[in-house]
Amino acid sequence: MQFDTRSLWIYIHFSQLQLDSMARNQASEKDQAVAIVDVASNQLCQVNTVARAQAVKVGMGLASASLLCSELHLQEYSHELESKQIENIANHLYLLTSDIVLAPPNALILRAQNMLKLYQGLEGYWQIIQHSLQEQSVNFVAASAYSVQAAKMIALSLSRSQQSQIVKAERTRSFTGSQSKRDSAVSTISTNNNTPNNYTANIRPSSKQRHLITESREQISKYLSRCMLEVSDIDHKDLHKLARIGIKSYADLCSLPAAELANRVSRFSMSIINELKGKDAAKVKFYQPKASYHDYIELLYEISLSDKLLPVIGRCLDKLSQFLLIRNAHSLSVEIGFFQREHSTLTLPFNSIRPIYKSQDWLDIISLKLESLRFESPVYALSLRCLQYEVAQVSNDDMFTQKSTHVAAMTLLSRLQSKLGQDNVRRLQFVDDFRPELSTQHGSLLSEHRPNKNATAASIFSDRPGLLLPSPQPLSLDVQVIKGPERIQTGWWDDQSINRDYYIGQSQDGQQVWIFKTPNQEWYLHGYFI
Amino acid sequence: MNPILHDLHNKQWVWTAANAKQQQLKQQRISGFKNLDKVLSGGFPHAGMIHLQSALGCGELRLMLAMLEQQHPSYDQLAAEHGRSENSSLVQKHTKHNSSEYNQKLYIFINPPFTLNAEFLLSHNITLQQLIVINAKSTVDALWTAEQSVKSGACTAVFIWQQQLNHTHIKKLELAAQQGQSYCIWLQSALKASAQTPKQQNLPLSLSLSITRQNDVLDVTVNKQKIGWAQNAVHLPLPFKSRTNAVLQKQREEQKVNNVIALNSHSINR
Repeated sequence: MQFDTRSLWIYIHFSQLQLDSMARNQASEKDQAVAIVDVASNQLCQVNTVARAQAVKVGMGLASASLLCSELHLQEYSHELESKQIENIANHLYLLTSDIVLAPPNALILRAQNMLKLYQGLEGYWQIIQHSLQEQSVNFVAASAYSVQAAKMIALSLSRSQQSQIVKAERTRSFTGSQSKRDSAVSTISTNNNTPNNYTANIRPSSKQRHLITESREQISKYLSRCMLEVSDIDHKDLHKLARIGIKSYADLCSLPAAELANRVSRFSMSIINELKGKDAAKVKFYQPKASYHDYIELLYEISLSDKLLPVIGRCLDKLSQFLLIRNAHSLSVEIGFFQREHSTLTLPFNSIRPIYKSQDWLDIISLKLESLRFESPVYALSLRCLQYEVAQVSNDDMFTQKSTHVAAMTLLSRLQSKLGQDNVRRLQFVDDFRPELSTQHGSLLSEHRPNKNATAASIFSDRPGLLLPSPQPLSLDVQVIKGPERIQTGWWDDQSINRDYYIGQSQDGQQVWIFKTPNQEWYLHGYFI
Repeated sequence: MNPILHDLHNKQWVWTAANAKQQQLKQQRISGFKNLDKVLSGGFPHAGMIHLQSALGCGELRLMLAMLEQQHPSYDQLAAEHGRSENSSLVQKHTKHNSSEYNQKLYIFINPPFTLNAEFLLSHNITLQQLIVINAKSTVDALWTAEQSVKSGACTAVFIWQQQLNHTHIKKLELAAQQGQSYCIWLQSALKASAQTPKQQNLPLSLSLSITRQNDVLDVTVNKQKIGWAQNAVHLPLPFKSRTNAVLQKQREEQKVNNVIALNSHSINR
């Protein structure tokens, strides 16, 4: 879709998305130094505050990082994981703003223009967006501009200056504190524990200036002119060419006439330059939230005990229930995948008889099933899927009549099913057949097999035993016939034809039994009148 | 009060006749058999654990279902009160629809010794929607299921077939049944149980019955009940419902009706 070049865009760059998502899921492990390592370049790409306090930096090689911090917990960088996180964030923001563009793996673009009226200005709009992002505890840098490319360039260069500021702050610290640090490093570790606090205090003032959210074209162009071209999408080869003729920043670029530029760079780069200058419109595709729910979480450490896993599942379910609540929906089943380290992924469906959305209700069902579950090897990640959900029907039933019984029954059946397994909790089905073996059949709870009203009323005999043997057994009891015979001769159309004379007999112990005689004068026991 | 007695009283191990009689007698459920009600001082308890000891196939379940039917009048009976006209089928359908949606507490059968016969249960006015059959793999699972079901308040009765239950199990189930206001009915086969009877005298059951059959008559012995003493056997006529009998009764009724029609007072009879 094409849009005019006058609308305001906000580019949000998430600098350490993977780290943030890990930290959120396992909040208890706060003092663990964690870093994300990019396997391709063998460099650290995301470092948490604890690790940073121990002088581990972004861009460092693995070897030097592990020398600096022996307890550094490393995680492989995953493009997929970040893309999924971006989608999650977009899902949250979708409730607040309409036009969202995904820029995986680590950015979102919002079209602010058509939201300004609703939120009465940019300031109100941004505050709400910012609040929602902070709630999800992610680190981000944002910038607004009148084209997507410009917003991106500002945001990225802001993010860079952020990084360099941190490094600078670190340097000044290490200069002033190097003497004392060297002295104390040998004696105690407790000083290390104090450092993160000092650090956050240092960073805070600068973090306020993180975002450049403004409507004034002057301010935007002022900042833009200072931006270096290397953070933009312009092709690397073209960047190189431009650098050779002394064009490194946006200001340099503007000083050169467009025709001159067009001679030097490729068509692709030229379109980006045009977008930067606000002459071309961005070609973007807006995000549409998916109909099904999917979540994937990597654990900070591996877990093999199912009850330790429950709080983590609980947090996943909280998100799901939020998702369902917003859509006024509830669900009958969720699917949880347990990614095991040395064995294949275990995917288990959890079903509820009654449609529910609350995380606590789900947790009840899941915890029962997990009780009996043993993992073959430790679990390192979880996935939660809810493929189908239904919109809750608002019913105007009387609150006080019998409804609670129904809910209680449904809850009970869900619990029984999850503990005992679906096959062990069954209903009976009555089939209108004269053969006793066929008239009763077991059915699962889900099949809502309503009894056929016409069939039941006429053909139910009251003189039938309560318990039937699975197959007739030769009669060994001493039995006195008290009623009969009743001949059942049917089933000639399929292969299970029977020809039996049924009698009701009574044994010396007072047991009343259902027996039959075949045409060959053989006696069989078929049921008990309980 | 004597400290020992006080202690016992706090643990609810002492039953005082004075307050219990007032409270409970109103809540007794009639069994449908007058002489049984008499020995049970009014009828079955309103909730709790009931122990039935009998040989398989004496009519133990029929006795309980007869009692439960007294509490929950079926549609047929309701329809019968409305009269036997063409409309009755409509009435029946209507009531059936209304009550089958929500007001259908569950009947749960845990580990029946053989397959339950749907036809038998249908003839006792239990719709198959309210019927759940549980196949528990272990005794622990069976007891867990029984406790959960009874406690939930969603069940009319839970039938559990077990050969042996100890004091703790029964106490748990009894409390759960009181909480959920439903019955937990424990069916035990008499042939194997006879050796264990002396022990069972002091189990915390609401009611314990032994059932034997002599021809057409059921002998019910009260082994233990909460209010009152153990009682000697009473004789109940509990024949199985028979089609032939029903037909005979119908014929008799029709004859009567014929007579009434001859007198042309069909409408008055209504």
